Amino acid sequence: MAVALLLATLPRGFTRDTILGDLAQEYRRRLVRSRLGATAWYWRAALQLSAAYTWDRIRGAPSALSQDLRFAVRSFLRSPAFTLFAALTLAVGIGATTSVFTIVDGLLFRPLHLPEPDRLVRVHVTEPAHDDWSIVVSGATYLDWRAQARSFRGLAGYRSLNFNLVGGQFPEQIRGASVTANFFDVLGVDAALGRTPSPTARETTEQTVVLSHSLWVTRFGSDPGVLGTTLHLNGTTHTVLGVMPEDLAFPERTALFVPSPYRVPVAPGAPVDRSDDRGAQYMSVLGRLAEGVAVEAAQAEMDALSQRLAELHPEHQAGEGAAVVPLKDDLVGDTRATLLVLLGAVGFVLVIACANVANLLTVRASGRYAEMSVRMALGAGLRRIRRQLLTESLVLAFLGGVPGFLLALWGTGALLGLAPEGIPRLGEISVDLRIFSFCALMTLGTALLFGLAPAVGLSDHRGALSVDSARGRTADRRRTRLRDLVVVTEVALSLVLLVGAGLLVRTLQTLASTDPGFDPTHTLAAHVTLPSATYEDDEAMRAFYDAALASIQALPGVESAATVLSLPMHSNARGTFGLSVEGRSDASADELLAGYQVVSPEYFLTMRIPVLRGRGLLDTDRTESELVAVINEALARRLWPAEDPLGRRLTFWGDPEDPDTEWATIVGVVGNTTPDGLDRPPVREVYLAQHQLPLNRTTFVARTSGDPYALVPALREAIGQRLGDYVLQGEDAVEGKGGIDLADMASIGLYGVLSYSVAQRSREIGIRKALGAPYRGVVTQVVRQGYTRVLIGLTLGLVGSVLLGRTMASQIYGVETTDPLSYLTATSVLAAVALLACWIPATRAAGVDPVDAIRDGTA
Amino acid sequence: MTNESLLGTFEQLVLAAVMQVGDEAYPPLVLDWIKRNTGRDVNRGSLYVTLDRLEKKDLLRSSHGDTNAERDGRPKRYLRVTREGRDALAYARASLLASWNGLEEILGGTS
Repeated sequence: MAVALLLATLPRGFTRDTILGDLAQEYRRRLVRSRLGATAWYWRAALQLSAAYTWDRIRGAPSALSQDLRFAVRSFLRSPAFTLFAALTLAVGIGATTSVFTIVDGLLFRPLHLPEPDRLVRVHVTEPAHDDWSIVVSGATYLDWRAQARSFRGLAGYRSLNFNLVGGQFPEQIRGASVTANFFDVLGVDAALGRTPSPTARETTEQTVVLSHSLWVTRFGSDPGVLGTTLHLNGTTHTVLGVMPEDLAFPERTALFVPSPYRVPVAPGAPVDRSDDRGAQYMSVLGRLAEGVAVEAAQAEMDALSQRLAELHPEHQAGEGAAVVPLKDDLVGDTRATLLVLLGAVGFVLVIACANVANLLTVRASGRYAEMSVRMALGAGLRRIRRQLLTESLVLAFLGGVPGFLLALWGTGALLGLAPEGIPRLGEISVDLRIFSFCALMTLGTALLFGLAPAVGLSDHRGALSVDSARGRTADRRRTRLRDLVVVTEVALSLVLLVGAGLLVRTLQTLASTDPGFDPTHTLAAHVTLPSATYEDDEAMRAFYDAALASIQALPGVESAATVLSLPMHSNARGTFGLSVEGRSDASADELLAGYQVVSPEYFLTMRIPVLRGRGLLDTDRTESELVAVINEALARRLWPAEDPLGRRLTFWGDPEDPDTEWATIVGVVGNTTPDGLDRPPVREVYLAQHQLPLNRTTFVARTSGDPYALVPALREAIGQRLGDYVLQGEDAVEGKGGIDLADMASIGLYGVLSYSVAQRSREIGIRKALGAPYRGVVTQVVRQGYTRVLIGLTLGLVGSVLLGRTMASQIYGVETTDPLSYLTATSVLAAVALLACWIPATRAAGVDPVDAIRDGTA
Repeated sequence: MTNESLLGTFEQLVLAAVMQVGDEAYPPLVLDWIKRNTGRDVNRGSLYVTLDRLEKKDLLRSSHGDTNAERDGRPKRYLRVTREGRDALAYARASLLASWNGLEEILGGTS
């Protein structure tokens, strides 16, 4: 072993032989005294020797290395444009791709922290006839499923709710979930501390609660003694049963789990047992597939079951189906398609980055044959030159890699910041080093590989001949042809990729730029649930809302403020309820399903939701005046496709047969707002006046003139309570990202290659000028020549784009594969960049003194 | 002509030791000599590396010596200080002595 170490580290030859001899001799002499001592001595000597020789070798090397480094830096400083483009390309390529890959990986590919996640599914109610997703389920339907479906080992119900946690330092509003007792059993996760409720427990007299790990840490300081104590939630006492494990992130942002006292979860509003209610759809259903049952099999059973149920309960469930969706797909939901498209676009960015770096280096290489030839003629070995080039590539890699990493960190943060609320699992994401390494390796590997290009082909033409050919620069056809080829390829490739990216971006736009029906920019929102102990009657709540709204409206920077029960796009499972319409006993139960909103008069103005007919809600719609309602367009179309809905009357809770029922008169129709996802059809909605129907929970929304974040403290103060607030965001911000980067990448690369290629001709330009060519003539000619190549590239690129478009057909939504806008934009962007890239260096070269240019050969 | 680069202290020590050991000088003996006469436990690796460096500077020359079974049949490396080596050592000594001029009393007094 020790000998092997010495053989590996000592320089080969006579010296090594003698050293081994010396050691062997002394070892034998020591062996006489003690075998162990001799071995120990030999090892010590071997280590000393190999360390000394290794260190000596390292110390000897730097002279060559630092020479290479100095040379590399000098050569980069000589061509700052090249260096800038190359480093920028690397940085953007690494940074952008790492950010997006990280996010997509985090959302799509990372496993859920749940046991056997592949067997977890969500079961939704669907309305295939209306292409209308109603993702929430009624209590009675859930119980039917649970009793009859055989495909599942278990089905559990849950519903997100806000809870007011009273006691301790301060009252706090907490997002939690009301769950059926078997929820934890179906989920397959046990408490990390204490226990979860027994799956069969039901209607116990004692109310219990299970805390999330984060709530346990933040609110209870990780005190194990919290078990068995009681919490006051929404005015009721709950005993703490257990604490869930830290990595449980389902349902999203759930701080505590409250086992329902009924067989179904508790719905928002008054705690009522909805076990027999088929009209109120409010809960979500989680299922665990039985052993060996595939999703398809479960789906087939649910189809049959839904059909039976629809026949049994035609008034509520006619035309209803059920969809069994793997939990993981469901969590990512509609974003999945978007994310995959984004991934595709970013994959292109990576390819462009690699292609650009390769192109830049190849073009540069073609300009460096002369230099390499001269150096070889002066006696530099091929190995030495390769080492020099490798050093240059490494320096370049460093120049691009470091900013690339910073960009990746910043970009991921920025993307996460831009992301709209409600994209699930965002909280679990952070920059992934594996992904960064992958992107970095791809681009840097390309840089290293193509950085060696100048050395390729050198070995076969050494010496004077190549120096000679290098001197005759203008005549060197081979070099020129290589440059031309690179330019044409780059243009063609850029166009193909840009069109591809354009199609993807347009797809994203159709997905995302669907008008949400309201204007989320410059708005700030805060949720409030009033403690029922303090605000026990409607009058007290009205007084609070009036006062709070008045003080918010008085804040400088607030344009208008309003309240709403739940914000559009923030209510993943708001649910729909059955309503009754006067004189419309003919309408089916299904037609009469609608969501309801309770809003203050300024709401439509604040959210910029247009009032289409009649009027919005007014300050005069108060307790003492007539009960009014505003409906949205979707409901108006559904119930009164040909008539005027204004003046008609409806009720949510009243019995239409009861003469005492208070009917709300429809006074206006407003625009639809997109509910849960942008590609979902709008939900039918009824807006009721907050003053006439005060609820103990609401959301304050303020439209601000400036940065909404700046108003957070003031808003808090105005509402006078500790609240969870957040800023509404537009959904388009995330999606635009990929396309912008891509266009930048393609332009940077094209500009770099083209301008460098034109600049290479400055010697020729100098000769032309020396021979008397006029300035304008030279510029025109160079630009024209450059542009010919660009046009060839563009033509080839268009052909390639059409072919690419066809293969991409499956990934494109709502856009033709020959979408003229994508083609036109891509082509004109490239054409414009190409013009600049030819023109700027051409004028620069034409302005140079001919003598300098001829001598120098390069600009 | 002396080498323009001054000898390092350890280099001087090694050169001197090689000369002291004489005709039979080979690395283990040199190591022994240094240990015995200066009391310094010299790192074996440093010695060999320094020997190589001195040889590269032509201050030292080595020659193949005899082999035997005790050495696994590997040769001895006999060391001899070259003329340049001797000059360099003499120069180092002279410049050191010159720099000590007038300091003998102080240095002598304290030691």
